[in-house]
Amino acid sequence: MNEKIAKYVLTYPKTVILCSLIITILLGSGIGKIRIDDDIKNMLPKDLPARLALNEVEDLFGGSDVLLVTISNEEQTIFNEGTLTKIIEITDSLDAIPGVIRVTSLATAKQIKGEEWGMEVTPFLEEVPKTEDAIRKLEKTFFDDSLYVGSLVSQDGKYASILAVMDENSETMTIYEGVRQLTGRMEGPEKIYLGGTPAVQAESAKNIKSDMRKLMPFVLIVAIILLYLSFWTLSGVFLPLLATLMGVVSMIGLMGHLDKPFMIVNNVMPVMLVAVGVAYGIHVVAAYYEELTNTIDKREALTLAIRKVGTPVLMAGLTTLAGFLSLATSPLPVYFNFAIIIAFGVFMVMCFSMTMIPAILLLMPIPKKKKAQKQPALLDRLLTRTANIVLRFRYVVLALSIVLIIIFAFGIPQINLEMNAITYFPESSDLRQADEKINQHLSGSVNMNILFNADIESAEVLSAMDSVQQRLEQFPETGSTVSLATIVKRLNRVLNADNPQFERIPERKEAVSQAILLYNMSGSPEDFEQFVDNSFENGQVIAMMKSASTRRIAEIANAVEEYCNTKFNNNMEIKFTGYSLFLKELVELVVESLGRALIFALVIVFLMAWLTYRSWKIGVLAIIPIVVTIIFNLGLMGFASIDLSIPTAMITSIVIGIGVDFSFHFISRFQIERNTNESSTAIVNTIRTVGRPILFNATATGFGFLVLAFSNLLPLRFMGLLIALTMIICALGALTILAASLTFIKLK
Amino acid sequence: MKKNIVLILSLLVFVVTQHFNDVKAQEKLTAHQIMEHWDNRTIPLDMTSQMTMNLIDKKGKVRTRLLKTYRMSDDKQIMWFLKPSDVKGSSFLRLSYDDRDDDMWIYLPAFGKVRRIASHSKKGSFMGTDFTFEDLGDRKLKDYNYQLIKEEEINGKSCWVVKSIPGEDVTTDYSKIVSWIWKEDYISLKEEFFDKKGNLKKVKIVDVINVEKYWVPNNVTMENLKTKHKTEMIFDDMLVDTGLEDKVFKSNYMTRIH
Repeated sequence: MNEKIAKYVLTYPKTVILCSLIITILLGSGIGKIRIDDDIKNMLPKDLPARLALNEVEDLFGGSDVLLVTISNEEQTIFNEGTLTKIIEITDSLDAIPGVIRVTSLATAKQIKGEEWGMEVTPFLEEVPKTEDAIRKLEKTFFDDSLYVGSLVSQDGKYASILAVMDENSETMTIYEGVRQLTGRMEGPEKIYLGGTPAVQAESAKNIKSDMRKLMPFVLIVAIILLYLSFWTLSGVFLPLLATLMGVVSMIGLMGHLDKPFMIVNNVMPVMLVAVGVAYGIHVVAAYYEELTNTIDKREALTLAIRKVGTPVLMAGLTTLAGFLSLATSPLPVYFNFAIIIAFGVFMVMCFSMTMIPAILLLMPIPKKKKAQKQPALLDRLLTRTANIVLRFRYVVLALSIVLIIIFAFGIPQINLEMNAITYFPESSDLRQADEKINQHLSGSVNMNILFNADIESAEVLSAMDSVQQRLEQFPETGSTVSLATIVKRLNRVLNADNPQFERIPERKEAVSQAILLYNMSGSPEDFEQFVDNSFENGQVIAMMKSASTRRIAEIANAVEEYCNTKFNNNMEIKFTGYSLFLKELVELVVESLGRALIFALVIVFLMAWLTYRSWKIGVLAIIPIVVTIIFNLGLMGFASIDLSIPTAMITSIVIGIGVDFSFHFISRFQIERNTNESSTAIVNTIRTVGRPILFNATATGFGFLVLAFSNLLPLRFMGLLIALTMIICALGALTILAASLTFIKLK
Repeated sequence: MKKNIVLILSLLVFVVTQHFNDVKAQEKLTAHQIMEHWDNRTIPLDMTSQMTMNLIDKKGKVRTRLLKTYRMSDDKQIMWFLKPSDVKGSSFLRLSYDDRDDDMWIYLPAFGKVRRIASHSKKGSFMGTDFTFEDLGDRKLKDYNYQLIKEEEINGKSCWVVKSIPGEDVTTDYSKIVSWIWKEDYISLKEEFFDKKGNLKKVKIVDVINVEKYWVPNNVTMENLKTKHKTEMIFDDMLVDTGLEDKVFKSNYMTRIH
């Protein structure tokens, strides 16, 4: 196999180079078609119950995503001519945007008030009051009415919210940018904050894009420095880099061609491929340079080089593929796509490294004699000493490892399963600050929808809605709740001479229907349709929540659901949904994915080691450093309270994919040493020879991933740091724990 | 014999009106003159009808109400709900004035007593439909500038297409309204409403029927292109000029079941 590749590549070098370029260009042409997908919803399988319920809500009531524009006037209150004018202006502008279904604000809300002679329907703010007295009157009316205190204007009057419900198919990014420009112009003395799920989505998408631009040059610089340090020649830097970049282009292009959405986790791919892929090129170039010390015939040197590195590169590639592909076992499309695409990228880099690099090397002149590489004596001494310590204290090494594993294992149950997208952003970010303000002063930025499939026009169902709202409001995270029941209660009071005692659902069916008719007649169809659909078979309670924590929201939903089950009979179907809630189901799937990928990867690695070394014991040993590393990684996440989210759950698969190389590397060398030496000498020799490349590889890859620490998004930062750290742990694990364990094995 | 007379008479009417149409077409009216005719066109002194009001959401689900309506010229209107049964007997009375807010009353049998509704909203929807009061034709001739765009046929009826642009101090939801004015009767058969940003927001389509000497709408639909919500009003059993008395449009008349 290696012979054939070598022969073909070296006979037709120009064809090989040309073909590589053509393939890259053809695949790369897909980059233009890349579609950035900022909607976490789309990470979910389409048939998940919570997603179906949310689709139902969007279908019935036209959209569930709420963009919040919050305007604050800390100096006085929002009840002044300037701020009120801005509220009207923002409301009108939002309303005119295609894709915005309805806007609710002080400028759209109406006060319905019972009077002796009948009733009064007054928009709070259709136009700005002309006099100071009129403004004070508006302020008093608003707070007396109390229905919208806390949701549209804060208790202290310093904050006001404008809520825009967006169509499910609307262009979130475009709308968000438009609104940002508009509100940007209006700032001062007021401050304007944007929040809500659409804002989080748009900011995510923006950061994904800017991350790409920022991180790619970074990782390339790291790669160039590393390559230069290994070879000190231009071609040594240039060729592995070229092969890797062509792999990156092909990989991203393929995503475009296949129309796979580019999501937050895909951001990691280019950085990851560079970090992982450069090694293959290094192997080939290094082997060529090494052969060149024995011969000056380029062709001969290359043939020997390919023959020599073919199998190790293939093995390294296969184990990496196995690790990455383990994610494809996940039920989540986002992981599946990631796994397939990155595996394809790794495969391409491997191909380019094995074919195009030798082809180019053949056409290029022999590089000037490279500088004599200084063997860092310090590292050598350190490795020898390590080897001796491991040998002498092998029981201690193993015991210590076990203790460490147990300690870190305690961290695992403490891992916080959380899918709160707002925590992706640093605390200093505008978005986080906006979110904090909205949660602190108003009723929160995340909605929970409780869908009722029942006869909405009946007193029984409306009462049920009302009690669900009351139960919900017992939780401090609940900002406000509203439904048709809220309105019917208020109208019942209005129709009973504004007597507060009548702020309840009337008992007679006719009274309920007529109150609803009155409400229906007093507003526009959009107002009405957010609460009940035309058939009156579906209604919803909209709750604004001050927390986007999937864990907390799920706890609240479960408590309320339990309350429903004990309180109401079965003629009502009640479904809980909303962004946070179905993200909670996502978290469960993330955990499931993590488990599946882990088991799959370990089994594959075990089988590969077993087949390669013909010993199941070696198979077991090969996975030990990985298991240790994974326990360390998860334990650390628990202790450092790093949320297990979609990006961070991928760390284990990535670490397995890369870290397994170290075990294989070590065991292969040990086997060779073992042929001529006895066990303890073999271990020392192995550590001394492969110790350097393993540590170098781990550091290099680690540095590559460390670039992610400069991402704008926190989970990617954590991911970079954790991978870099666990990479080193895994290398050290191979050099100590694996080494110590190997001395206990009797090889044939 | 009687039948023949009717036939001959209607033929005669047809020929005469055709002739007048031709004359009108040659006259080359200005946009403003057309709209003057539109504003002054003869409408029934009073009218009674049964109205089916269909509220249709974007998925095509329909909520239907059946009402009995009485109307006097353009400014007095009373209606009783006949169906659905839970709201039967509820009624609504509206009196509009040129110089001040409308007066409205509502009667809900389950809550007893007629109540006046003081509505201070100008942008309000008409009874929860896609029509606002503005859409229903309460437009003042002098508030707008007019421009004749083209001539076009709708369902075989030839129309002038006139663009109305509101003057600066006019309170309105729209930046312009395009109306299809039927040459024969100056009734508007179609209207397009453009929002403040210039986007087409709503489309109104009117079918007309001849009742005695008047052309009156028998089917009016208004579609909101943004929300995809639609309202359809179908008028049956129309009677005109029956000599409705003023007392019908008084609040104490609302509690009578019709």
